[in-house]
Amino acid sequence: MKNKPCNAARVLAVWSVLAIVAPVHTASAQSAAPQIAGASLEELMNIEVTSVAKKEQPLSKTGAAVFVISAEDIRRSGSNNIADVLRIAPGVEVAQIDANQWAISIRGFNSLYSNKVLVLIDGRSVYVSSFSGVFWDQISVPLENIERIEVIRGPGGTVWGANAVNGVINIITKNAVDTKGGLLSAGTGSRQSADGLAQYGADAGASGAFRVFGRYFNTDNSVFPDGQRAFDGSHGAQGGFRGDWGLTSRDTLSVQGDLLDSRGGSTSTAVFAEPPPFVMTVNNALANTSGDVLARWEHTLANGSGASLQLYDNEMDRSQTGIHINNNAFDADFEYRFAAGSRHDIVWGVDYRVTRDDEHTDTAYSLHLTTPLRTDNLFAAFMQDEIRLGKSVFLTVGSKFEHNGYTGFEYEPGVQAVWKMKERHSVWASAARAIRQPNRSYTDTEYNLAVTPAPGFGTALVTVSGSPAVIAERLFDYETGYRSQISQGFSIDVTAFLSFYQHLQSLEPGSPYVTESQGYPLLIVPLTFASLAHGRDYGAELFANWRVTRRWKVSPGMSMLRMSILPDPSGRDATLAETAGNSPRQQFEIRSKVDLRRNLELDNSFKYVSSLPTQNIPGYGRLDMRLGWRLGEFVELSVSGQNLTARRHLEFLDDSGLFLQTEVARTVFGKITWRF
Amino acid sequence: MPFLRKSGVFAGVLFVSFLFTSKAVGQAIDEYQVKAGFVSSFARFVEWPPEAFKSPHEPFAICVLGQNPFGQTLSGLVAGKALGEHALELREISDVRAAGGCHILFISSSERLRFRSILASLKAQSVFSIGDTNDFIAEGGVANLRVENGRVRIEINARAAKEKNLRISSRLMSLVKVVK
Repeated sequence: MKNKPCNAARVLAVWSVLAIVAPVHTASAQSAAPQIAGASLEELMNIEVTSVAKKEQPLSKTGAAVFVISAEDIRRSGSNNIADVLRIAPGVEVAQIDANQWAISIRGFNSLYSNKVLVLIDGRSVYVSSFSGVFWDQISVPLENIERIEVIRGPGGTVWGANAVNGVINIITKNAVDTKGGLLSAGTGSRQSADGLAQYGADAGASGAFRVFGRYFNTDNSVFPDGQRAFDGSHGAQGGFRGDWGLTSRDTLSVQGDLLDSRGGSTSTAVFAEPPPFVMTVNNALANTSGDVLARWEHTLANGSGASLQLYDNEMDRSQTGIHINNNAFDADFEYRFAAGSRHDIVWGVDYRVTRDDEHTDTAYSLHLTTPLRTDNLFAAFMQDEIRLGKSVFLTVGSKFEHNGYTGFEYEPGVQAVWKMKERHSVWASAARAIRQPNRSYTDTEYNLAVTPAPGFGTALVTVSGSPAVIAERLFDYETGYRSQISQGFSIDVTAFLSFYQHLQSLEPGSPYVTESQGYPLLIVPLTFASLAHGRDYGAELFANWRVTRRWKVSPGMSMLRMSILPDPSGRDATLAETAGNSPRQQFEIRSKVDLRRNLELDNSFKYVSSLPTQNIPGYGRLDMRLGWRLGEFVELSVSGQNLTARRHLEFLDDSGLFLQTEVARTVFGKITWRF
Repeated sequence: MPFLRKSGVFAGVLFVSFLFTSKAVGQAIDEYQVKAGFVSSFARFVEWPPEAFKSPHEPFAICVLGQNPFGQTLSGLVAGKALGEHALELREISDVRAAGGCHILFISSSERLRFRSILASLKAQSVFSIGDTNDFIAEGGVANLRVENGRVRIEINARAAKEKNLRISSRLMSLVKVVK
């Protein structure tokens, strides 16, 4: 207890020292370097240049904690799924549960289907609001087609609405004009026994392009801590397309669609309806068919104003332990931005979403929904104004207003201030309110959570019931950050945050009662979902990019999180204090990218994740390496290894029992990519 | 302490990386500053047909179509300069239909979806078009600026230049990669 304020004080001290020291070293990058004006062609040809990725430029005006994973980062990570790619971003908690399931969160509250991070693919939400979470095994964009992944730590509700509470993960795929030509890639390894992609892109009319792709993958079963083979492998096929057209010089149209079918398994600790024994460990089939289609039209006007209209439809059909889910979401979104006078850049938008969720449970299992079919309408509008105060200070104010089917009207205001002290050198601060809307698992679900011996009664059965009284979780978040290109080859980004949560979901015990099951006495301990918890988190994230030599880049990063979740005075959920122990207090990483030769790349990354005390999982380090070799312009070979330092380690325990945890093993993967 | 041992392994890997690449970062500057240098220099190495100028004092127009990636660099290089009787002038345009008086046209990568229709509509004009994306030459552009091994390289589409009656000096041709 004693050293908690001390840690916060240390973070603040480091932060303020950086803010004072760094401006002195700032290099100017805007006006023409003296050697350009009057240089001969030959001289120009001999100047060594750096290519600043497009992503880095707008950040100096952003009043939020953002990390961008570039296409280059993804290629050089050696990973073959999006979940592992997200380990690159400092402050993101990525923990693997079994061969196909992950717990992914930002700033705490990690769990299978963690519910406070919104995930978007090209503006299409893949966060399933009817159960508040993301099925990561269904997020299967070919990594070759990702342009970048923007990871926003902290609330994004002002623009993105409900559920963008602790962060937003925005996966942006490449424009079809950038993927013209053929692409064949094939890989095999000790975990992913097959992964193949075939893609073709070409011109579509005088000002357009398209691509189509197909992919097959097969992931092997992993291993339980006792050395037994698990039943969690999967295989699947997917296909997709994207077309982009410049309809006029002011209008662009983008159309895309995907279809995924995968089959796999899981081992669950399931609680059955009856008879005793209620709890059994069973292997289940896991089947998923999902598809989506999206169209976006953008219109730009000469003065920077513009409008966009986006329509999409997500369809999902999924069976897993004891439940079959059929979920459809249709979304229509319109946005308009314009300059009002010389100081205001205003953007507003309206959004409508209808979600139809049809869930059927297997009667053998205890899980039961009081209303199997539920249709919800969401109406939302937002407005945001970026105000230029003087030459280098920007203030952004805005709010989202929503009406959802669970809690009715909600609002999510936010304010950000950015002081751009110099080019590529800024300080920012923000305050925001965000919400997570309840879902049907908290309102109309009933299930048996656990069975324990109860002295005097024989057996106690812990039951859980949803309650319509559950209200939206609220966050009040305060952040400040600093980012700077300190010198040509060195940049740094620091963020500190303080977050207050209200009406967090809790499980309140009711009065136990005795009943009988097949002649045996049974003590029922009823728990009901409620909103009687609150919390306070604080922490910091820091990362840097250092170009040590022309061919060697090192990127260290670290994050620190202190969570405290407690029951409200009227609440009685004694397990809440353990929530904090599901997230690491510290994470540290360092990535290194080396060009050994012009066509030979060596990439290493080391990540340390501190222990998860609630789950008895000790801290672990992951060492990943990749060697990539380009043969001419069109062929690339790579060999990568992950978790090289230890044969196996545990990362996360799913306390719902749906997915029994297996160990994350040392793996190798080889891949060949041919572009033509 | 297994953690320390793993850190040690990683430190070793980093050190080996350093040995392989230990050539210090040179005085590298942003690619778009150097590209702006090329865009503003080409005027001196290309000859436009007389009909490209309506009057002897008509300004020589360097245009940027789409998002200007040069910041203030290009306008700084162009300001106050002249090519013979013609004062250099920088124009930022958002539609190819406004490219009528342009002599040099840099087409930003923000317009890459429309390259073919833009270049097709310029076909009859003596415009020295410049791009900086992989397939700009293949789509019919005249010059392309590519970064290769940390240096800016020029590709010239000789056939496109000839069709537009643009005469490129032999000094420039000797420095570039000629395509087609």
